[in-house]
Amino acid sequence: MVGSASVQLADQADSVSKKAISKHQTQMGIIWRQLRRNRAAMIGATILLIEILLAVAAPVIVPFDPYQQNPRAALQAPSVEHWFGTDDTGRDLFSRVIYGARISLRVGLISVMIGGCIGITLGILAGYRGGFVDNLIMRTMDLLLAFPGILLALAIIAVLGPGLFNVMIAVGVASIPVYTRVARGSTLALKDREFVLSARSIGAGDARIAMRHILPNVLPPLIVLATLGIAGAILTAAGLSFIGLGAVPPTPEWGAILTLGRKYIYQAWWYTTFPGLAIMITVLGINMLGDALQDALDPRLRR
Amino acid sequence: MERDTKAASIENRTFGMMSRRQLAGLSVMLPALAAALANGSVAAGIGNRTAISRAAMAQDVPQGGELTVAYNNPVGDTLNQHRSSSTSSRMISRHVLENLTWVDPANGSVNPWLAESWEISEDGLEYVFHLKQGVMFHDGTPFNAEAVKANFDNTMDPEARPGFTYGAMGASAYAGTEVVDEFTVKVTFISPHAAFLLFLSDGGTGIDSPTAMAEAGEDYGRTTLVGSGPFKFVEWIQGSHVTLERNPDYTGGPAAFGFTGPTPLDRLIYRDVPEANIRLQSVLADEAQLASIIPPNVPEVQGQDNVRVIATPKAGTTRMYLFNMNSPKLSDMAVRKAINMVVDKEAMLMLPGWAGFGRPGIACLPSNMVPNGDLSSVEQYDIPYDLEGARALLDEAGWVLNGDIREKDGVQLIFDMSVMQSDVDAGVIEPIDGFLREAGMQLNIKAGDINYWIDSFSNGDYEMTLMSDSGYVAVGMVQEFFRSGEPFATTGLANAEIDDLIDKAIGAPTIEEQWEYLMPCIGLIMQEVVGVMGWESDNLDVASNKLQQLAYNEIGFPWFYGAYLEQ
Repeated sequence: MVGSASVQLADQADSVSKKAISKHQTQMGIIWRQLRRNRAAMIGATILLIEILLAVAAPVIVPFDPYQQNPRAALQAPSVEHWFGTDDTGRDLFSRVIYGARISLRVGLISVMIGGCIGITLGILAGYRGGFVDNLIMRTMDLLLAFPGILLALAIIAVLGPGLFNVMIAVGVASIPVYTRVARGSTLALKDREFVLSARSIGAGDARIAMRHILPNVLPPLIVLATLGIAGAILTAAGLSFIGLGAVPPTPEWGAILTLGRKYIYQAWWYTTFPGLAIMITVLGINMLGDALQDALDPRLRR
Repeated sequence: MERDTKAASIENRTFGMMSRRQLAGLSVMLPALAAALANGSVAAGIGNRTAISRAAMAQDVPQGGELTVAYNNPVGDTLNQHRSSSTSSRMISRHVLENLTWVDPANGSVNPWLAESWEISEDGLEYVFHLKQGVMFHDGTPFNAEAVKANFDNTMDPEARPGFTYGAMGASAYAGTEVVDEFTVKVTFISPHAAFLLFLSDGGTGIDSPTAMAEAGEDYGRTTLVGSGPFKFVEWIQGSHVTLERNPDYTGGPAAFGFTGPTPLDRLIYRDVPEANIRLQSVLADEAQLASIIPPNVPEVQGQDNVRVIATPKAGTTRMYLFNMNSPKLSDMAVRKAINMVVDKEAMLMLPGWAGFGRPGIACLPSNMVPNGDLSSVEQYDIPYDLEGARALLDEAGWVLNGDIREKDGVQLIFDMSVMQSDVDAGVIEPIDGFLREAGMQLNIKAGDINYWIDSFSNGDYEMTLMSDSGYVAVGMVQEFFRSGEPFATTGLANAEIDDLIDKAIGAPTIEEQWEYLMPCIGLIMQEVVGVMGWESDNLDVASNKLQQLAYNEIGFPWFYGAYLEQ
């Protein structure tokens, strides 16, 4: 009997929390309206949407196999046949850049997922438990924050070795402290709120409170962070590939294409220009959307 | 990309430099040279081949100036030639140290330098050298027989880490060095070491001051390097540069070289510049006056009137994409043959990564390293391009397509290619992947720095790699990679007949006899299909037109003794 009463109470607490979430859902509506009114947000979202569509439909869209070499067509300038020209082994650069979108978006998303999942879990744990756990986690994060992100990623690559998957891990791990800090701060602000206290008073466990009451309420600022993080991860991964520590040839990753093209920069401008533009446009689009999200989520900036 | 279009800006080696034909001449000379060695005398103009004419070296040239060389291979280990395995180290030390002999790259002749003359016993086991008198090391130590013995003893010290020079001195064939009198020294061997006099001309066997070696101990070659050559060591900042300065008291120089006395340049700086474009730009901006470049750089140099490209056929092995036959996939001869059949070398050489430089490889040694440039006796074992044939061969061997990749018993034909990042950047790895894909195979390219590559190769931790070596003693290079039991022979080749032929070639008293064993041995290696014999490569340098009287040594490295900068 005691057990079933406790479950009922917990469900009631959940409904209180759901009200809070539903309030957030209303807020999401406000945010969406805010975003729709923001031209930069719409441009950013459109860029991202187009890129996702291109990435998904790449096998159908591209005119050539991105790995198919044609020695007799090496370093051809952009033409009707090869819109972005060809590389030093005669591969079609348009096909490679489109396929590169798949890789870059995947790198961005997976890196952010790695950093976000671990960082948010640790942040909520630190904020909610406090004391020794908080100290241990946050001092470790301080230690990681003492290294510039790219340096930390380089150190991780040095241990794991070059390769695309290792780049995702490196970039993800390097971003953990940022998510941890933000999640902890939000958790500290939430953990003494009424709906959390009521959940606790009616017997909800720590894990349940963290997952069902705190996590949904700390997510909005973290979504902004993650959006901007995708852009950062794409840039870092391209940078690592550029210095030979990321994707290995013949993977059509934008940074890797750039590094192969740099020795032809004076004779084949298209080799570096198009992958460079792809990186720039993607990062610009994501940043525009991220900035707009930040504005939309900040009540002080809402009109 | 036609070779002819480059003719205007690409220099054929003239004085002291080897054209492809001249370098072939060097190896042509080797049998004749061996005959001369056997007779106990070596001189210029060996054999019946017309000696390659040499332009006269001007002695009265502008003095002074600082020459910067941008190079891509850092010294890495040490400038102590008794311990170093670095080719760059040998190249640099050659300016500080003098050698007992001097090989003229123009005709392959072995000439006196610190050794004024020598005699060789009939069985090829004893060499008696009569040394030059009055030579002083930079620290004031006199050069004499004791100094030579101290150097050779140091190289062959069984307690110390062996470097390149250990092999150059004959390795286990070496018996010892004995001082006969102050200026006479005798070197003895357990078995013949026919290439000994050639090796004595290498930067690796230069003679150091015994006093300096003893004083510096482990630091010798790092903080100091003392020889008797035209340049003095100033400093080596690892990863940055090596600085040498003019030795104003120098009176030496091999008589056959044609230049004597102090070298014109005040300072010589070797700067480590890993990125090829930056090396090229540094010469175009006159921050360096000579740089090693890669073929993709060449089009940019064309049309520039202040620089020139110098192409030198590489003295050494062919650039080989070697297999590790211990890999289950590559233990299958059909797979090894099929890989060879899909690589279209002619098309490959026209790619920007080669820009038309080099020639399709046939054997493990390029044509410029074999007598008369003649590989006809082994050409029958070369595997021609045949894409359809490769597909059929793999089908027949049970490697069937599953999607884009062939597989058998769950094993896919994807090969780990462990290489240096610089080779990936140079564009000479990816094309192989492209060729393999045509027949349902792929590469998994694993790139790293030189240490990663050397480790992976020497530990056999690779399935394919791009390998080559620089040198001019053919038997040594064949032994290095294909004699089972050698540290770098990691391809998994274990063929008693090949081992026996290499051993016989090593033990032959003359180089002419060495080739009697070596050529059939090369044929057998080709039949084992140990790799794709990629291409016979050229070393490419870009030089400022201010840099004049530039010479190249016998392995194709620039030698700046006598070089000067136009004011």
